[in-house]
Amino acid sequence: MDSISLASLCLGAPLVAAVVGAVFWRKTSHVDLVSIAAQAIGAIAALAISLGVAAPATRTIPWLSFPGAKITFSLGIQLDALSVPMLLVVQFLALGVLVFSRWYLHNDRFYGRFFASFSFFVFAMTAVVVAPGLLQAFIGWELVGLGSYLLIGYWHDKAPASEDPEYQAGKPVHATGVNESKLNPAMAQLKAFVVNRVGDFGFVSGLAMLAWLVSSLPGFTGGDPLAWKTLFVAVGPVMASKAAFLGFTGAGLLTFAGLLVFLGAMGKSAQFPFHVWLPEAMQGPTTASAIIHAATMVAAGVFLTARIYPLLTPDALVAIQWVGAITAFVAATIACVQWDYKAVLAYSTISQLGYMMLGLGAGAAAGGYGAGVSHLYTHAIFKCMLFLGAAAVIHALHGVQDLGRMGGLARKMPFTAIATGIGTLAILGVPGFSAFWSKDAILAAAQTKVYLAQSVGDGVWAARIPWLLGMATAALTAFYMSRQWLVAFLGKPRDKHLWDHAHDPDKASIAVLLVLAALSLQFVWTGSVNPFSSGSWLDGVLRSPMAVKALPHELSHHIHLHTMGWTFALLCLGFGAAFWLYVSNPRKGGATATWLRRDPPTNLVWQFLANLWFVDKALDLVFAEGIARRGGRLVAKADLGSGLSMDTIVDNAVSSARWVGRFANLFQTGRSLAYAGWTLLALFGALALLLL
Amino acid sequence: MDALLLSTVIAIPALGALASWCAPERSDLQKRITIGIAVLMLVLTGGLFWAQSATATTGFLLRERIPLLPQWGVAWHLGMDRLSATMIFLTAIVQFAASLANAPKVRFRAYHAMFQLLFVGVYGSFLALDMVFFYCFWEIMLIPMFFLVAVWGGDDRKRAAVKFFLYTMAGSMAMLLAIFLLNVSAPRESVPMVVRAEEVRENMTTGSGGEAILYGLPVMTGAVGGQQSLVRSADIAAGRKLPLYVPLSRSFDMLHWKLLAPWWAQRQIFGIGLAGLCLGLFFVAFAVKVPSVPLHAWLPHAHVQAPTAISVVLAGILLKLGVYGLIRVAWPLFPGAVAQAAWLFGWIGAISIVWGGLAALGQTDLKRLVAYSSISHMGFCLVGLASGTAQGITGAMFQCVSHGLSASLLFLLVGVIYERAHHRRVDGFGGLAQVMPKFSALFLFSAMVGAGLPGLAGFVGELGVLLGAWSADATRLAGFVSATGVILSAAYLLWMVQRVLYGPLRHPEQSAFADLSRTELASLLPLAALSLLLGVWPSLLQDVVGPASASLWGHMAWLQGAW
Repeated sequence: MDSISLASLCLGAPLVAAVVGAVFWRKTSHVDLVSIAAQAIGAIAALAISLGVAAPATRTIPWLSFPGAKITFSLGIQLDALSVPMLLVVQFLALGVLVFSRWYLHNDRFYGRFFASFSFFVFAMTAVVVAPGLLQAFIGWELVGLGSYLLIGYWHDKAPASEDPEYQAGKPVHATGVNESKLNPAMAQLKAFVVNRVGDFGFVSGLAMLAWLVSSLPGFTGGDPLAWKTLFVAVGPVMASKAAFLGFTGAGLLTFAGLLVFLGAMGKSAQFPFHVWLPEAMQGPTTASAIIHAATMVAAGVFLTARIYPLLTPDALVAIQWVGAITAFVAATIACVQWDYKAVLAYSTISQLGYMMLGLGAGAAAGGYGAGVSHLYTHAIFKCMLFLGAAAVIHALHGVQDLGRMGGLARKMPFTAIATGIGTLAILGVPGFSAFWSKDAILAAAQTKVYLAQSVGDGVWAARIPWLLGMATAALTAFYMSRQWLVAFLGKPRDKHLWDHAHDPDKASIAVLLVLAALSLQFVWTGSVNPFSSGSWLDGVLRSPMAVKALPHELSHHIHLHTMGWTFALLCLGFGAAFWLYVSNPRKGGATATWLRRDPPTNLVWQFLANLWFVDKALDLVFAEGIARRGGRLVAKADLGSGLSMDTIVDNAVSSARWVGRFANLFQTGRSLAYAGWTLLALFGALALLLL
Repeated sequence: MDALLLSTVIAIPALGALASWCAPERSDLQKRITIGIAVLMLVLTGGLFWAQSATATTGFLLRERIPLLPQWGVAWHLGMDRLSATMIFLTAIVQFAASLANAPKVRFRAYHAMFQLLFVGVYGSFLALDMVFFYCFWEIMLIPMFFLVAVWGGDDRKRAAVKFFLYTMAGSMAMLLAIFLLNVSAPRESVPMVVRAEEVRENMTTGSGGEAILYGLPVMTGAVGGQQSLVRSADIAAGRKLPLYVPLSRSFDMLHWKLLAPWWAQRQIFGIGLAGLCLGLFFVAFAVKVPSVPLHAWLPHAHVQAPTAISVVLAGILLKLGVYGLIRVAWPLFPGAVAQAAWLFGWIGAISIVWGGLAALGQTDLKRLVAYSSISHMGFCLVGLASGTAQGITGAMFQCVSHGLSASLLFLLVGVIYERAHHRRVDGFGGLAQVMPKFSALFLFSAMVGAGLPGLAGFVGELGVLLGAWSADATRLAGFVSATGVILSAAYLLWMVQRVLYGPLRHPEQSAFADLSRTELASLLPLAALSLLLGVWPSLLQDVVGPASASLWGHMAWLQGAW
């Protein structure tokens, strides 16, 4: 089989499983096996593709044509250096998570539906990954959104958290930032979908704008204006064209279009201030979060940004880098004060996605492309594992997610502790683990961008601030991730009863955890056991789509060393703080947190962070409460019944005219013959009027 | 054999109305007649649609013309092109679904007769090519609709019916005035008008002597006012480049009026341009039906009060007539004026989308919510048409069909729970997903069709409209604003879904609700299947309406270039 047919298997097998599952999940719980079998096929196919693919391959079929405009959009499969590794990551992680979910969700009331929704999600995600053009990317994008909607709302019958005894029993004591009356899976799925739609408003507008720009070029002879190839070739001509919108022309217009599409990426990748949906999406099953809200769907935004890289102008990249840096920093600070095991991971994911954007925004010349994309892959694997570890912990503790009631779990669930520990070391960026390779590359790229800006003497601070935020985030990451692991797995059990019943997951699930842990080692990614060796066997895959002038080797080596030194110091600082506060300090664990919360100067900071920078509250006030509820009610009222509306004028005319009453009475005789008579009379009247 | 096929399409519901009227007052029998007629129409229009889509021509596949009042230029003139074929097939699909929906429990005979009569007007309007008959059929729709709401509606039915009547009558009067003005301004005696070669090629017939005939008129060549001669159709088919004319005089024929477009553009009446004035009048007439803000206020009332089946027909079909009228009459007759006012139409569409969407967010009544969603969705049609691009016009046509499906689905589903709960308050439900899984699946599905999820029909139309709006200078910004519709539609539809289906069961008595019955499934599933089919494989419809819009776009672009 050629690689395109294999890729259609990656698409088709999960789709078939989803359809079968959707039809039969109520009748039999064995739809899980259908999903797993389909996913195994997909994973094997993806492996075969990645081992065998030599040259990029593309095959498309026409899908939608507009004859008058000579436009024919195509769907299909494109396999290249960006899509093949992502395909492999998606298919394999999906397989692992499905195997894990069999244990995690067994005997659940909606068991089979999980597998059906999950397979549908994998299908949609694969469609994004192999998309040969922007339109298919958008189609898959939205379907991914539906998959996420279904999985977040998996327990759709749950009451709001404030009325849910199960939630109340398991929640962290200090959950101030959460509005419990508006928190349940049904609300979370709605919020996720609508927030994403705000981003997609930008995506679809950018898509329409690019289609206009490309199809109106004199060189456009027909075909798909949104195919990657056509789009990227059109960049130069579009910049030179006279097209204008809102005063933007040339490169400014292209920046506009690129940022509109990036708005979609911000939604999916939970970039500030769109990040608010992701922590609430934790209402879904933890294993769903592992694939959707950690490894693949949220990474789709980063993937898309990497995909449209040739379209992004330097100005657009500056904006992207800033968004990424702010996201990384804000989310990391919030993660430091979370006591919900999953919430820490949720904010950590947001922060890491910010890192990827920070890397991509550094630009190809600074090595940002390869750095962002490599972190996308490494993060997908260790974050998926961390979430599966969270699933194991939450399952073992019967739904309790409060870090304050954990502790000492390493003795009860050693495999989970080891795997999660490796994941934590990886995300910290400890040499020898995967993110040391990818995250340091991002920070080095950010610093290289500062250097490049200095050498041209322009935009130095625009490059320096994101770099500084990225460095600060490295320390914060080290703090909150080690804090989580230390508090949960070391020390004495804080809730003896819970601890007594804790246990590792079943063998298959442990195997999944350990495989993912092994893949979080640096040597897997660089192909060298020496963590400090430069270069990696993935360098060919990570080459940016545009040709760039490489920095002198000496200089790049120097910047890398510089970054490495600083990040290692910051890592030690973050880890040391966590260790001191939660392990070696006499007032350990929860007591430290109490102390931090009570003390006046730290209290203010704590309040600010625990309230999530008040972003959620502000957005809720403006959009949900303001525009949707109040605004909707206001418009509805203005439309019906206020003095403003057209309707009222007609209404008044109706009630003031007495003839209408008589007129209406005539029709109320109840005799159908009279109706027919009226029909004819009106008709003849109109005819007479017309002909005279 | 196909001599009177189109008349048959109109005659069948007319005979059905007669049959219902003559049949005894028994609900099962009446319902059987209605369903039988609907199935018959489904087969007939399905065949016609298939025949039309199988041909390569973009012109009229079927046309029948019987002169009735030659001195006035009035003729029984029906025609089916790609657009008409699509619309009558959609009508039959919605008619089938609506005839399966629960009918009122009183006065079946009159109800079913009125129901059929309504479709006489609908099919007639979609097929008529003579303005007099177009107007008549337009009016025929109005009257049964009035009674269907006023007699079988909800508590406040009379006010809703009168309001509906006043709005649509005002629209009709505007149309009547426009028709009158155009007829008065039409050339008294034969005037040669230049015609587009493609139009001739697509629509010509061959006379006994081999000469080309366009819409019943001989095609001429040569200099205007100088030596002229007839053209052989073989020459045109062979692609010979000739200046082509047809002699036009006073008539009510829509197609002749289309050829007279340059004539209208040059006339003045009461000191202002005839084209602009008549475009305004036609726009009012059709915008009431679409409905566009600010002429929409009849719709929420009529929808809330109308019985389920009538809401379905109203949203699924009657609103489309407004768009159809714009495409069939307003746009081809006055391309220059349309281009000048494009920005205005684009903004009216964009405002309808945003206003309708915000109003839908604020509703507490399910039916009214869906009604406002219709206003929002139909705004896309107007934006697409305003752009005057092939993408935009195709998108508008596609949107008509997809909204026909999604609105019908939503109204039928709201009808289903109204049957069980006897109320339609959004907050009067909650957690129905636990009780009615089939209903819930379809409800979510329909909301997703409405929210324009790719892979379902709603996406394709919106995509075409946005592509078109962005491609035209006049509507670019309006198109940008229109795209907020994707946020709003997701917000109001999925919020509704969340409140009705999810969370714990808020009203314990609703745990006894039965899931969808077989009849309900029979009316819903074809619409749902079609929504999915058109979303996954849009070419099925796109390849039918695409050439139609390309032809209209060509006509408009040619005329604007010609000046």
